[in-house]
Amino acid sequence: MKFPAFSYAVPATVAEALELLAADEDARPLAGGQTLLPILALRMASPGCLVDLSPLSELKNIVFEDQTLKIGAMVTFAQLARATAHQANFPLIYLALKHVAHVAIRNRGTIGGSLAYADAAAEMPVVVCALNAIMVIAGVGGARRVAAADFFTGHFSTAIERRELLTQIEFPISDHTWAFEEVSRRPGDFALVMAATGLRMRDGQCAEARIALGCVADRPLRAPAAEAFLSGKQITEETAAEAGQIATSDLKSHADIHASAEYRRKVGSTLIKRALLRAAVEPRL
Amino acid sequence: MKKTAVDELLLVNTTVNGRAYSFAIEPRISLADTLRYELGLTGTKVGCEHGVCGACTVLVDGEPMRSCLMLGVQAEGRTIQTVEGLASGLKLHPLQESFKRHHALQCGFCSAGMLATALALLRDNPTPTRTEVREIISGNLCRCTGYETIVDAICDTQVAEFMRGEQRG
Repeated sequence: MKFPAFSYAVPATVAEALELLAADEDARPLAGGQTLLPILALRMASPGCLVDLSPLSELKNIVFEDQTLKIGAMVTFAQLARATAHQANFPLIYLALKHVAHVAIRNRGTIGGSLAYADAAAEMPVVVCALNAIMVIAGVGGARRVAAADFFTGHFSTAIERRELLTQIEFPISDHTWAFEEVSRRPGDFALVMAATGLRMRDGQCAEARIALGCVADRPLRAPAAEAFLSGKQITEETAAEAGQIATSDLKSHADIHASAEYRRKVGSTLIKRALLRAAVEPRL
Repeated sequence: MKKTAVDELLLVNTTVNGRAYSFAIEPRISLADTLRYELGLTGTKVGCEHGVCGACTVLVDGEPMRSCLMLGVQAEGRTIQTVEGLASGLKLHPLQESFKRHHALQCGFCSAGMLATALALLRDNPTPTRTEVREIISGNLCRCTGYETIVDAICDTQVAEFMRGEQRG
């Protein structure tokens, strides 16, 4: 459908954007529009005012400093994919990027927009959980920092309050080896299930494992029991499969037109196993 | 900071197919509808209107984007190319000729979007593999399911030769 009517504001700075959001209860930020505009077209929401963030160049920087990759919320997936200098230090981001949407969507869709909408079938929420990223959220009174573990609160829901703006995502560097696995109907489609795994090995044994799953619940999940299980173990077909089982045995997955809950659990378990075996043979930094 | 009220018209200056346009539209109008109704460029087709089908894909500053997921007012200062801008007069673009030669269009509804997506790919990589082509057009639906001939047309050697020439030129 055509978009419902809205008033339209173009701030010149983040401060102005925050003022606009604070002044109007019914205002919403417009980032790349690849989630919000379909939401408008489907009449799932009709905000009274859109605050267009596209001119805010201060939100379009990618900077590596203090062992941290700081990505502005308005960085598009295409821009991030072109910033290959960070690929060696942050392989998981780039592995996951290969699965993010279709080329035309990647050219406008932003990392901040994807995280702020927190679609359970989107890749970036899983990535920030696996990498223990920090979301920087600005408000009129100043900025606050929210860990990925506390950021996602449910289906299409996050810790961002009305009148606030996600401005930056901070990824601490890690010395894990990483793998990302996804099943979707076509390349670029929303995931049916996805898994990200990271391994820090010492003398052939797992010193720390990270396992994150996407599209199996209303938000991205870490699998602490499976991560603990792997500690001190070698990564073999058996231990990797066991970790997949532990991570998915209690899952209350959703069923939809694309996949049953049982299917999601089984595929999730298999993807964790595959990703662990792949991460185990990745060369370390 | 500029803010417009609901229904207030906003002046937009943009370049489409090499021609400068200046017009006033409501912010709620998508770029696709702006092209079709404001500028009369009906070669851009509107299919699903929520970013799934890819029919409305155009090149914005050279990159493929969904014109149904962009506001017309966001065309301000941008350079847009639609299917109408591909031919030189009556001479079709080699990729259009290739679509014709390979029967890569049946109803034609997806063609404008397919061409925009394929052109951006070929500009960076004139000789993609069939797998790369299938991946890149995975965001463009052909309701006639004529994908094989579309892939044939994009992988055509004459097109590759022309695009290599463009790269050098």
